[in-house]
Amino acid sequence: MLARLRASIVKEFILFWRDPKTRSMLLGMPIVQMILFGFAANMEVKNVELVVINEDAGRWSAELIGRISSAQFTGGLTHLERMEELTARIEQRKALVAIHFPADFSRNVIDGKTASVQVIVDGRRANSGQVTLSYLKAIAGELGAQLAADGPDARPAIRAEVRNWFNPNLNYRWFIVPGLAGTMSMMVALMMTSLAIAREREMGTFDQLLVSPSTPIEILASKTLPALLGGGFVGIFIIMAGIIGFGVPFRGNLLLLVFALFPFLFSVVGIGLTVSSISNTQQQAALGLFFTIMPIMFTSGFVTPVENMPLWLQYVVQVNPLKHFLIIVQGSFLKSMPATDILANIWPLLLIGAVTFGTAAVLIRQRMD
Amino acid sequence: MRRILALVKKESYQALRDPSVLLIAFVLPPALMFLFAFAVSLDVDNVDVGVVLEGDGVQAQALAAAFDATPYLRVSFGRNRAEFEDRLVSGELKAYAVIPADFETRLQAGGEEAAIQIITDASNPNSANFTGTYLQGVFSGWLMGASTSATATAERIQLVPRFWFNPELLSNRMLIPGSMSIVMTLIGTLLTALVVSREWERGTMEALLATPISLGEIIVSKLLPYFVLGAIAALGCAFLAIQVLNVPLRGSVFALVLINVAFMIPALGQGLLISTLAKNQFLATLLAVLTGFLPATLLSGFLFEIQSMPWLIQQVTRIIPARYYVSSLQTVYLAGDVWPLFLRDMAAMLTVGGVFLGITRMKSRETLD
Repeated sequence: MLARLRASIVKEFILFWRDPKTRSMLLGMPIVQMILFGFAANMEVKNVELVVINEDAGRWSAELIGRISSAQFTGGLTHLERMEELTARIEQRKALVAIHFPADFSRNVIDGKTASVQVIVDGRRANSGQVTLSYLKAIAGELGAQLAADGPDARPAIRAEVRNWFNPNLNYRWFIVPGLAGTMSMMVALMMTSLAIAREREMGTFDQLLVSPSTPIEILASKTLPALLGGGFVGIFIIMAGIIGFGVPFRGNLLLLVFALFPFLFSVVGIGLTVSSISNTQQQAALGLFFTIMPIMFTSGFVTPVENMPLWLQYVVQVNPLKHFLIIVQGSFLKSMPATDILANIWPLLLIGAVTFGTAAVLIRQRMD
Repeated sequence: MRRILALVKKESYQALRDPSVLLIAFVLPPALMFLFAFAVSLDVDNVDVGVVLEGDGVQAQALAAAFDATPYLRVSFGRNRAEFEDRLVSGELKAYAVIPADFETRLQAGGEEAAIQIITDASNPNSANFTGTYLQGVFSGWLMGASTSATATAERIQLVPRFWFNPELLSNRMLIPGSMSIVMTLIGTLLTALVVSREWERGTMEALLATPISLGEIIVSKLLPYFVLGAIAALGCAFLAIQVLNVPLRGSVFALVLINVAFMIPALGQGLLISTLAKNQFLATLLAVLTGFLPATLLSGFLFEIQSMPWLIQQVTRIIPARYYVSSLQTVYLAGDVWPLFLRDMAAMLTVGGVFLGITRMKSRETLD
């Protein structure tokens, strides 16, 4: 029986390996995506285009503009004369932020009053806009504090100190690359499972398999093991590339993380099997895959945090295997998460896998009758 | 003409017969829109934070109460930091503020030592940034309001922000139009790629080419049904966004239609190109994911700011039609009719589409020889 199983697994691998285009895609996809995500997926804000209308002829607006234009996030700063120009620039997305100094700005500063500046932000890009605004506030606050320190009622400002643990410089890559180990290995495993069975079915060879001496369990195993190994390979590859290539600090237990990868892939493969057991053609399997991948990806916390969702959805999301694995992988990389916390996220994975495998088995058996 | 009509009829029947096509065209768009309306949110809401109260002074109590009264936070109180550290690691808390035992004296002294310390879980840098800034805001708000004038000095320079087009700063206002680019990419690119590559895989494409029907006619008849499907899906998306999800449509319906039509051309062209290159469904799916779905999600600028990407990736985004589509869609929904922007984006989409169709034509001819 083992020899038979081995033979059919080898056959599956050969099938994936035979076609040079498929081969290069299966290998190339994780690499391209890693580069894409690693460099493109970034919520830091850089190269911001700013426009300024300055009605104030005094010294202090010039001082503030000087500080803003030499700040790191600034890509370009253009002086404009008229309000219509400013509107056009913002509307046409040529500038993210516009700053409007009123005529009495410097006078208010000199008189010791509060000097106001209007900041107009393109709300179509609310996230970057808010981040830019917080940078601008920091610059204005710093200048304001210096002014206050020079003034007559000088007293040091009271402040709150913010410390960003695990990632002090708020490097977005440290967040996204570990997450990729989860999403990419999931995608590869899902595709390999669901398309493998659908192809046999479309070509009519699935029936041949069923009448062969292989038992249904062997058939399932030969279809799922390559996916498990393929996904595992991609996952480990990205973890390594994250540590070595991207320089993301790894503070947890590497063995434990690799161990946790397999319950995760087990639950994912169960989902892939379920999808393929209800589809008759490759097209249906591929489209069905999309239908499952998207909610899994977008509710996992990979792009936006789970805590931002409404509470009822946060409960629903407990059945999302990627959500649990992201906690494990991100926790292992940056937080050196203890084993108890990791185990707390492994058992849901096993539960999900048991349910999806069970469903797939029932569905496939129904189809056989 | 009659030939084209007959072919279009055949393709339409074929498309509508398959439940998976209907799933993608009619079920996926609303599902995805709801996903982006509820699950994907950049708005920090209901964040779990801790407050460590090391002393029992009146001021410290008052500040703790101020944190508690903030609508966007779910606050738990504690006496010692160590306990909160563990909860930060396990992910239960996203941040905590430490009000030290000598808070009152620090308030009096000001300056050198920070009055309170805010520690964030920066394993997700974007939310850490928002949460940190927000907690700081609560603290300075409390300083201004509750404390005596002796301890607080008014801000010398005040930024008055105005978010145009999206004053409530709702992130799904911008994400929902962005999510349409994913829907339309799936219908336009993935569906066409699958359908045409199936003809190649089964050898029926060669049979079609051997008939008196010209290549142009085949292409048109393949694309037309999916063009119509895409148009219906776009209409459905627009209806949902405006009527159910409360996204305003500030531009004209005419502009909205024109933008969608302009995007369908590169989307369909890309699908066709993929199918002629791949010629089997598995590979076509992979290619559609890699060159269609992922760029539409990552590089189109609706989740991640294009300006913040490295130069090389910024250049890559220029050939991605979804980039122009997202830019125009966000504008037509949130800002209004900005024709200079629309014309620029539409010209870019049509150019990219033309290039795709041109390459497809060349490649299909080659394979006949």
